[in-house]
Amino acid sequence: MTVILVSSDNQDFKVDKEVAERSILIKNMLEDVGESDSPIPLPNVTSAVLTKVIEYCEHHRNDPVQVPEETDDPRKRSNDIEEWDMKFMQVDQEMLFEIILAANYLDIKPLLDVGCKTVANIIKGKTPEEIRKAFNIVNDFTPEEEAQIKKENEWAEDR
Amino acid sequence: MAPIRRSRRLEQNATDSQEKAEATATAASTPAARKAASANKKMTAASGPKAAPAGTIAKRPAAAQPKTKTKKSTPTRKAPTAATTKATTTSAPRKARATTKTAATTKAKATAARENEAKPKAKRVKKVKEETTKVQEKEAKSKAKEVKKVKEESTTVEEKEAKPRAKRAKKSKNDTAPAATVGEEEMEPKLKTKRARKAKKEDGDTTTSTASAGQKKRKADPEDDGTDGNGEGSSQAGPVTKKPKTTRGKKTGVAGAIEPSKPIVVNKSDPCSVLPTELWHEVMSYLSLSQIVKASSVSKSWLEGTQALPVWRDICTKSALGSPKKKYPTHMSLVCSQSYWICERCLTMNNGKGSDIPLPVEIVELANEKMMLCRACRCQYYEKHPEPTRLRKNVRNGYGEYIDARDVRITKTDACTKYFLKDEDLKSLNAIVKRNPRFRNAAPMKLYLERRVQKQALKVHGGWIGIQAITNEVAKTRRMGAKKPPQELQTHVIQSTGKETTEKNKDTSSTKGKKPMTQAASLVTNDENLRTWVRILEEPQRKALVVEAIAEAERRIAAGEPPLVTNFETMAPDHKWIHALRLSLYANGLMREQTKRIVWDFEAGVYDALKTSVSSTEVAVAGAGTGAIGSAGAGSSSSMAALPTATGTTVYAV
Repeated sequence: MTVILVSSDNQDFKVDKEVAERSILIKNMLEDVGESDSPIPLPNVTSAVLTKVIEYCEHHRNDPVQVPEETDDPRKRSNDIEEWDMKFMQVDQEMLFEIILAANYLDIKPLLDVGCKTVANIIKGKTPEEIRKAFNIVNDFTPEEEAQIKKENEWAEDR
Repeated sequence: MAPIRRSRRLEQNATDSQEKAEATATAASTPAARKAASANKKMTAASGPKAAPAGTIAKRPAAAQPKTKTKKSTPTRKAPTAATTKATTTSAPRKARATTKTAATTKAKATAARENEAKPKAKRVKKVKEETTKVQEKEAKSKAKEVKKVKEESTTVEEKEAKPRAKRAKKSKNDTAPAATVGEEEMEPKLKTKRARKAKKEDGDTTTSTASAGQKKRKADPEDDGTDGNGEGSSQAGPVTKKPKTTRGKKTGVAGAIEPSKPIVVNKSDPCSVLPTELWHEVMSYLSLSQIVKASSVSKSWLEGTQALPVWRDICTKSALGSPKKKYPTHMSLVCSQSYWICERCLTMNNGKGSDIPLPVEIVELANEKMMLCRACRCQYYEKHPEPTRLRKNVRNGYGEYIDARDVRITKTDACTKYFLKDEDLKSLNAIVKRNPRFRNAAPMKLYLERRVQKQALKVHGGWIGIQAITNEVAKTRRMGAKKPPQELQTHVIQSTGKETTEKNKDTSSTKGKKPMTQAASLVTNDENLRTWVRILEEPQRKALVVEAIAEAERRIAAGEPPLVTNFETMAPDHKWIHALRLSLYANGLMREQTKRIVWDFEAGVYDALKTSVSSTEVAVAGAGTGAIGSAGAGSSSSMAALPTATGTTVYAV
């Protein structure tokens, strides 16, 4: 069975139900509506992003449902991304954030996790200046403020 | 004259009788009028939010006209027209207003005239006069109030809406002028919606009557002198005063929504500004605390984003750090102030002794990223990732033979001193008992396999880093570090004594009361102290004491006696400068004994200041031959030659 998804720019995407149901949002919608051919509008997702999301869902169509691991460590790991996912996430930053937002909207937990991990990995191990360069951020601190913050965060620099 | 008078009277009474006339009119045509009114209301209500703002909404009242016509209700027919006229009158010329005025009044006249015929003229005149004076007073008051209100409201709104309002004003000016002549179809959709809403409101307020025209006329013409109104009319000034409010509401509600707001520039490549808070927190949850803190200094938005993380609050509650106050205004700053004592895994504070404190551990799962872990967390981690033992190589036994390192045994004493284990820790280990080779009569020795002892020590202290922390007294140095003096002092102490004074530095904070030489020197050379001292010395009443103190010091130095510290203290115990002077001279005395060439800028500066202060009183200060320190630039008579160096420091030959 196929499902028609309509992006915000009115493009139709025919997707297998199994693939579409990777999104909890769509899954719930289909359950509520029942069997019908009516297209599902996704007003928050553009066609470019939806293409990527469908690509991800297609690849992970047979993955088992994620069970949250019970660990003592409150901090999560960000280095356990699969190789395919890592390549999949090699997009420009705007697209990366769009994918994260779409994954959040469509309630696709694994995709959201991969996206967040990718962003975290970009930040990880970088100095503030390097982070600014990576994300094209302007330093809006005054020299005094920056000095004060550096002084307060001195301990973090040691590690 | 008579017709004029009469007409005036009629005009004055017109509004007076408006309500009555209205009541009669409505009473006469109650079902029809009500139906028409309700129909009108429905029509206007139906054209509310769902309908498109353009065209349809503005035309609705007009479309309602034929229906009302058929039901013979003249007021309903007039209501929309009055509304439209009112809409236009806000910016329309006065002529238009006058026409509406006359139209309304003439009808009122007719009804009023019939009633007034029966009443005597004199009474009517009196009544009218009284009423008019009352009305005038009331209206004057209401006007004053209105002006005040409008001013207050406008000041608050003006700043926000100054630009859009100006634009709207321009637009309305441009639009309304043709609207009066050309018609509604050419009006801007915004304006149409406004007018439609106004009409709707008015329809709702006045249940369609001839008097409504009068009311609207009054609303439309707030500059009217009010002579044509009665008591009720004055009470109807309420809506007039509320006029700015209603318009303001429209501005914020409709126009505010339509008008383009100031665009907010969002950096689309900045995750902090693009992602919503929950997702931002999700991203940050993958980072260590130290990395989060580093990220906080990227920009202001990042700082706010990191400060808002719930992890800081969690740590504060878990570690009982309290709530943010003046010194540490956020949970994050509060945690950062105790950063060395907080375990990044269990998020608890541990400022205990020995190996209990959090220590940096390279976490394999996090690509060898370092995390500060407390002893319990380290033990957990090393259970999964055990560390190898560190056995010695080429170990010889008592006969000089090489033995396997795994078979090396150590005594209980060694186990306790080397690996900081207690008796309880060693209980679980197997030991062999042997006779003491040195003291035959002593208790027999317990010998443990060293590798087993090491493993036990790793378990107890949470890895080698725990054992090293006890050996190096990391906890102690951390505590000292929290109280350590400024870097400037430390470096200077090293210069002055020519020794490595890491241990002494620790002492400076712990033994403040004793004030050993290093500390004394550091106090003097502290830039802040120096400035205050020089300032104090410049006061004239101190000079005599200074001279006396220096003379005494020089004499003692020349005689090779140690400077009498207590003497100076007893001379002026309450004076800071004496204390500083004592420290300085004391340090100088020791300096001469220890070094021949000393670089000491601060001291030179102090001494220069001292000399200039003293030379003004024409007292010979320097020249005791052996130990005075001077600088060539200051023009001193010191026997010591000051040698300025390329680096700017001054080298003194002693």
